[in-house]
Amino acid sequence: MKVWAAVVIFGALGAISRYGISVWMPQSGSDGWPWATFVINVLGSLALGIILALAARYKLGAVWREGIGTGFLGAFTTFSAYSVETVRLVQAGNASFAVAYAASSIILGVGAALAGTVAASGTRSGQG
Amino acid sequence: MMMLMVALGGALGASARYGIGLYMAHIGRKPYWGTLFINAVGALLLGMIAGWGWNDRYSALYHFAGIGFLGGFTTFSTLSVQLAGMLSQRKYGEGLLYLALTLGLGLALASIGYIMTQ
Repeated sequence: MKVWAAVVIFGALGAISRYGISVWMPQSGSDGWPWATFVINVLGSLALGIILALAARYKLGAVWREGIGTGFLGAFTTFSAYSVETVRLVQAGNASFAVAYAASSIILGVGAALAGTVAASGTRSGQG
Repeated sequence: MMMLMVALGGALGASARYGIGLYMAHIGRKPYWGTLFINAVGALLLGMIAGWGWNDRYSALYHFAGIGFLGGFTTFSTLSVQLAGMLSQRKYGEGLLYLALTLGLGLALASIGYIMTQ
């Protein structure tokens, strides 16, 4: 029950934070690049790598791990907007941007998740 | 008002995703099948909402369902961490399959949802 409550509360906060950034940052730049979602997804991937590694290292309780990881960062980052933005770029006749946006989000997201995990796990590369 | 819609939708979306994760664990499936299902369904539904033009016509509903619920339901950070885990465990085949299914289904379903509601 406590974990559910944490996911609900942190999920609401994650969605509000994404909304706040998208209002503050232009949804898409003058060039059509969806900056808000792009930045949110890469930063969120980095943060989830860090929080899961810290949770394993310091044996964080499920309330914090699931609250921040599943709730906040899960709701902060988004795949549905990423998909629809990519489709919109294709429909706008900007196929090269669509490919670049789809690919760079994934590559930077996975890279950031790896970097966050390594940085926070406290093991030097080659030892872990 | 719009902030409240986003918050309510986000809380519901995140807990639905958490529930599906628990169910996947319960039936002994690997977590990424749950994430794939969530992201594919969420992309289809947001494509439909975009095609219907809810963001222009029903602002409050769009903030609740589109930005809040579907934004909170689908996730990019878990996808990245799962792919990173497959890479670091050298499960390249599994990682490639997961990536191809996610992008293939997500983009195809978002397009289908968008086009069929235009």
